[in-house]
Amino acid sequence: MSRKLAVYWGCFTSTKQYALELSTRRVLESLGVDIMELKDSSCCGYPYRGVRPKLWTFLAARIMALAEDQGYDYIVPVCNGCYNSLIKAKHYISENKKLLDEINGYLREEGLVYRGKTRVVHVIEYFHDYYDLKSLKEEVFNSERRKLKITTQYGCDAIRPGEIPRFDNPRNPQKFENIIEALGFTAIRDYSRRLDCCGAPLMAVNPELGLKVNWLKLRSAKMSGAELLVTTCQYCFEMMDSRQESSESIMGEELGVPVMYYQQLLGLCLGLSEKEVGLNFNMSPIEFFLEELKR
Amino acid sequence: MSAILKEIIGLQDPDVCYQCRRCTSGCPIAYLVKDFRPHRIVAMVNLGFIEEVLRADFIWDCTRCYKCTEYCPQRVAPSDIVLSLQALCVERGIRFPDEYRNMILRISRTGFSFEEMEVADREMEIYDRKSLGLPPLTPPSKIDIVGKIVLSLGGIKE
Ligand code: SF4
Ligand code: SF4
Repeated sequence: MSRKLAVYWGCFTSTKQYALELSTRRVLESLGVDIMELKDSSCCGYPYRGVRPKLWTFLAARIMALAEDQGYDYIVPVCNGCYNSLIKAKHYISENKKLLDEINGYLREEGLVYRGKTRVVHVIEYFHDYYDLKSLKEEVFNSERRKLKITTQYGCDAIRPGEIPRFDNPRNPQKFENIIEALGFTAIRDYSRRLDCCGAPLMAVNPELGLKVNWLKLRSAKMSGAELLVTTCQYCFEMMDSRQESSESIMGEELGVPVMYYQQLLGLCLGLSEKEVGLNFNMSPIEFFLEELKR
Repeated sequence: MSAILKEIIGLQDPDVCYQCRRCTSGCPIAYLVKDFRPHRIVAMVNLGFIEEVLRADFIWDCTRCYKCTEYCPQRVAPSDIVLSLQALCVERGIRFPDEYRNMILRISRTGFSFEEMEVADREMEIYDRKSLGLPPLTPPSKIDIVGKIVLSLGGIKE
């Protein structure tokens, strides 16, 4: 059976978080999934949901209108922010006919229509429910990995606000841990700040506060006893991996939590090389985990 | 007064807040910033102190994690209120962080909020999309049309 998948990369992944794009591409190739590129794509509008709400809804609707126009039943945004942007805008537009008409007025200038038909699927949801847990397990499971303990960062945008239907229980999601255990690892399903924010949204207006939030979160993850923290969100990744050191210096205490994208971890399990999944871009101390994984 | 806020973004009704402070108890920012208290922001809005909150720097300290909204027993959505206050701030010209203005301008030119970057890896080796073998990033084919709409909805004159 050939599998196809329409991926929406979003701004941050395609302009900076190359490790996420690389690992996602390589992993899907290895799993035999054809990537369909969303043509004419642009920003999803999410950063402006506060300062310019209408700009946000227009840009989000535009992405979904493109997907409809190009014949996709569902799309997978690799970015958490894009995911939330699209499902929230969809929900919001569905409750506001006036807004729908206005947005379609703008979209029509480009020859597009928003009908709200495209399903928006989260990356975790894709592996858990579309590629599906069983196939993933058949493909990748190895019980020798059980000794390694891994914990998760869902990221706020994956799970909240829960009043908009999501892929998992917003107050106690489990699917991320499930797709980690499908590879053979032991997932740590709880730590005190597990569902908390990484602080990334503050980096534009109050970076120091953002870094403090990040440190508290990382410390809590460390106390869970996990040897690795994985995420699918590139904002969380940038905070928890690349800005971990800045957080440590602001708070004056080192943590040294190894951080990876789920797609990088999955890639390694599929036999891809460290470079193929962009692990040379991770700044957190992942060496020890990599050695353990090879043993 | 909350009608204005509701018109902008809110799906919920702040009037039903009964000041239980559950929002504040789980807020990661309230934990770090003494002045930042979501339940107090909701109360101020309900009592009509909109001007005062709009001028308070702390409304920009919210990290937009939606925890308050998720756990509010009255479904008040303090996070939406904070976001609406930010929108109102921008609309009234009280504050519009430059970062957002520049990003909106960039979308109108390239379709994306950020510039394509060169990134250094652990060995300080520099990479870009091309050297990594990633397909080139191109603006939407009708960027002129999209760009105009973006600037007008972003309220930005070139
Ligand atoms: S949790 Fe809800 S009801 Fe309680 S104080 Fe906060 S906004 Fe008000
Ligand atoms: S959304 Fe803002 S106010 Fe609400 S809990 Fe998060 S940081 Fe606090």
